[in-house]
Amino acid sequence: MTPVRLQRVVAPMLLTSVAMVVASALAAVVLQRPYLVELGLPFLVVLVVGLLLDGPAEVEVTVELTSERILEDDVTEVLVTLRGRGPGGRVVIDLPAPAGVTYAKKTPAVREVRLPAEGVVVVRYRLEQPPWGVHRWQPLTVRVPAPLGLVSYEGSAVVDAVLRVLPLAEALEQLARSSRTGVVAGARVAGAKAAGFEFADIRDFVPGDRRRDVNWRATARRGELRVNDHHPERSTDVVLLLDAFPSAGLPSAVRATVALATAYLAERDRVGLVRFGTSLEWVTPAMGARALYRIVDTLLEASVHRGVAWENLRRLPQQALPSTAMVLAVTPLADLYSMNTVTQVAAQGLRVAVIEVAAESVAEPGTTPAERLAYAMWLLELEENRDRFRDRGVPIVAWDVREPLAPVVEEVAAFQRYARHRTG
Amino acid sequence: MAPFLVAAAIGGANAWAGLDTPGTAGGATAVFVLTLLASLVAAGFVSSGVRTAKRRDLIGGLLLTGATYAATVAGHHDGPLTAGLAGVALLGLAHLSHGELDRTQELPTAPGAWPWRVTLALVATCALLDGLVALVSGGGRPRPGSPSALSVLVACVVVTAVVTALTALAEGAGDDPSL
Repeated sequence: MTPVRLQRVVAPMLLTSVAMVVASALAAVVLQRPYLVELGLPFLVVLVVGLLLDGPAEVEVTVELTSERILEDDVTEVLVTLRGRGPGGRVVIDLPAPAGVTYAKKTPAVREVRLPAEGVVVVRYRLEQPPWGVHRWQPLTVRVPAPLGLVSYEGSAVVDAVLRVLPLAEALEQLARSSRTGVVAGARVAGAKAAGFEFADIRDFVPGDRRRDVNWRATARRGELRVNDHHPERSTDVVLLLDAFPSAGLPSAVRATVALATAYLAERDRVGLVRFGTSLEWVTPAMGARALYRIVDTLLEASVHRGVAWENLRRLPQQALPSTAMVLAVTPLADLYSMNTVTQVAAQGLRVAVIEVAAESVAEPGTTPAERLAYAMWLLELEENRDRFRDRGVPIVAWDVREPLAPVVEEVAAFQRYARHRTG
Repeated sequence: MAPFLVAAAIGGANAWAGLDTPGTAGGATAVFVLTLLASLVAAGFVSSGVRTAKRRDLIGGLLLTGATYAATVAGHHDGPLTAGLAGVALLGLAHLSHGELDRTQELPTAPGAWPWRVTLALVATCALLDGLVALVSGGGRPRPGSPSALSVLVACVVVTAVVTALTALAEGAGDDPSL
């Protein structure tokens, strides 16, 4: 447990009491009426009793979460464990909730607890359905009031606990697929011929072929050994490009990115992440649950980064954007930097598709004519940006965040199939 | 709002007692009206001190509210009983306004910082001490042989010293250095 550094603070009540005692005593003496002392006598009693009952205060505290990672719909608790002593035997603690997070009504932020002579006391704060993101607490304020409130001991304790709330991801079934597979085993049928399950062709036997690949019917028909060729099952590399510039569409963009990452990893693809914006972070493509955790952790940090700087992708390592990867950019297209970044990736020869968080679904037009005009102009600008992407051969699909993501992903998949058909 | 009302009520009671001021009827009315105005100003100071968290306004307002007892003195209703009641009422006003002040400053304050037992003990102690003062002062009216200027000075010095000592005791570095 961490000791709280308490500082003795004189409450205004003490000063008031002093002033009343002095004033009444002076009035009694100057006006030669002794009973005027009685005007300040109650204050004198409070002053003497309050200061006599005052004493040292010591408080040790620990703040911890019952679960540090939860889903958006889950409920968790903050446990504040207190131990110590004070002149009044009680302590008032104030643990303000992080921005966007609320406590249950039964567990308000300010609580008064009695310090037991021995052992500890545990105060619970119940968090109900906190929004996704990384939530950090402000310091816990501890106040040990002395009897009659003349003096109090105040201090604060740093709260180390960090709550990571994972966004709920929509289940996606039909995903955009890349024709370029990697070398790692996966669930996609590769175009190459090698050991695998999917039948590809029949060819002449060459030394080294496995006996179980021999196609006995074709061999009997041709009178010479023939073997089956197969397509191997390989993984594809998918890199999710998240535009994390602060905007109204960012929460939806993160939600979509989590849904995509979950769906691709479930199909045994290697998934990577590049989060660009006020800071540049990346996760190299990998498979499995561990990759998902790394991606989600990086995505959650998008909710805490606020700034005005922009880092372009030049310092991104080659491994973060493999040449065989299919890039899915999720962006609210809020500014020119987002466009430039996506264009920069497409210029590297990677297959890029853009899922745009539609501005119309996250921002409302204003009430005044000027605001409505600005809104209309902004929509026109967005439409122009979309056209620029299409001109460069980058498919872009707008997603209304009030609707499911699945049809949008299916549309991206259709674009990819069409592109394969056109390019061969 | 509550501190304003309580302060105005204390001042109003004193103003009412000032209506019995001997002399002309106009003089008594003047004392009443002036005291009422003073009590409203005092209540305003208390209320403003609570709202803006200015200690000076709060303490000034409480002192001015206490000063309206001068009307009771002028109306010859003064004495140990009324002074004792006024003192307890002022203490109640101070407690109420400081509680409101804590809430204004959004300090983590426990509701009802003074349990009823403590309040009862305070009132009983005050009544006992008030009785002692009444006995010692023998009724309260100025008697021949009033205090000299020197005794007034000595009393002021003693009171100031006691209060300074008490304040120093409260403000002293009482922190445990081991923390």
